Amino acid sequence: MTHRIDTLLDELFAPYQGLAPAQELRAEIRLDLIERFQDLLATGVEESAALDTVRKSVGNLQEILSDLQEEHMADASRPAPAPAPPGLTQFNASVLRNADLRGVMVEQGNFKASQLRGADFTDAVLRGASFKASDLTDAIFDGADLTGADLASANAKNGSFKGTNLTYARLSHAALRNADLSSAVLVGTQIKFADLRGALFDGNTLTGVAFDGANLTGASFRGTSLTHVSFRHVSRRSVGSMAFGGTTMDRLTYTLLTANGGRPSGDITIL
Amino acid sequence: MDHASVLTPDLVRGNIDTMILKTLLQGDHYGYRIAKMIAAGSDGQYEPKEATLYSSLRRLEANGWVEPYWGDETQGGRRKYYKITAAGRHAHTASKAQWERAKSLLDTLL
Repeated sequence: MTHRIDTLLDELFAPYQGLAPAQELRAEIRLDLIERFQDLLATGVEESAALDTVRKSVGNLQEILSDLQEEHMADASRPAPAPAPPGLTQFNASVLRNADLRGVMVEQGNFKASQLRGADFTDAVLRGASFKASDLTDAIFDGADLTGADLASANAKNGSFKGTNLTYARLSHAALRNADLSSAVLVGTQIKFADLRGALFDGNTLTGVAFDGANLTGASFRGTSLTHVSFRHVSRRSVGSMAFGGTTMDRLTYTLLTANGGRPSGDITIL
Repeated sequence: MDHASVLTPDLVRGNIDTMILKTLLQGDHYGYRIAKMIAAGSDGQYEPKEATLYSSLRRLEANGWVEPYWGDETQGGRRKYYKITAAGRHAHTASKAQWERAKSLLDTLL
């Protein structure tokens, strides 16, 4: 009979798997639910009705677990686990237009929703930093380390990312029109649904990068090597207008690139 | 009056900490018993949800107003009992007095 309760708990606690305090709470609540279930059955309530009452007696677990979860998420290891160093890390909603931030070390820094137009982050160490929804138009990240950084929905039009480490960085929905990502390190990088019109990926080695749904019209991949790169839902027109030359890619990448019927032009070697 | 899903406005739920303290004044109990006693005390009009109950118990514990300890059940898993502390008794008296003042104020305002 207790398996009915355990199944219910599996369902209720599914979003909190791996959260140790949630397991303690679960153990405590479990005994309550079993007792409630038994009490109801003892008064002649039919089993499915009793289970329904038990389910309703739990209430909104989010109320108690959301704080615990936030603490836990902050500690959870990421692709680039790095504790926030002592010192300043909170720059959200700042106005730092054209700021000279060359070589700064702000791991896990919070630059969300900041105005960083034209800011210069050359050679800065920004592992795990968040630039979510920031204005990075004309910003310079040449040689910077943005491993695991979050640039989702950022506006980085004309941004310069030459030789930038973007391993496991998230750039989905970012505006990267005419951005220069030549020689950037792109491993496991998410650039889905981004505006990449005229962006440069020349001379890069791209591994496990997702360009799904991105607008790549006029983007350049000259001298680029692509492995396991995903181009799902990239329009036929985008594919036809991309600039290839001296490009190498694996069969899988080529298949994904041409799946929509797009015909890439230029010199591509399939490995 | 098994499980009250009757009206539980925020005004009632907002006083859950004090209700639990009052319940524990009568003796130590574990989660489900506390919920049941609150339900019985209100003639089934209000019974806190598990989530409400345990978020309150954690708060009370953090404030040093209740103290948990493990029961000695041998069957069906050990239960965590909650005991009210001296500080908890003071807190109950204080919030009860506060409620009396709020009540007479609201009586004039509403």
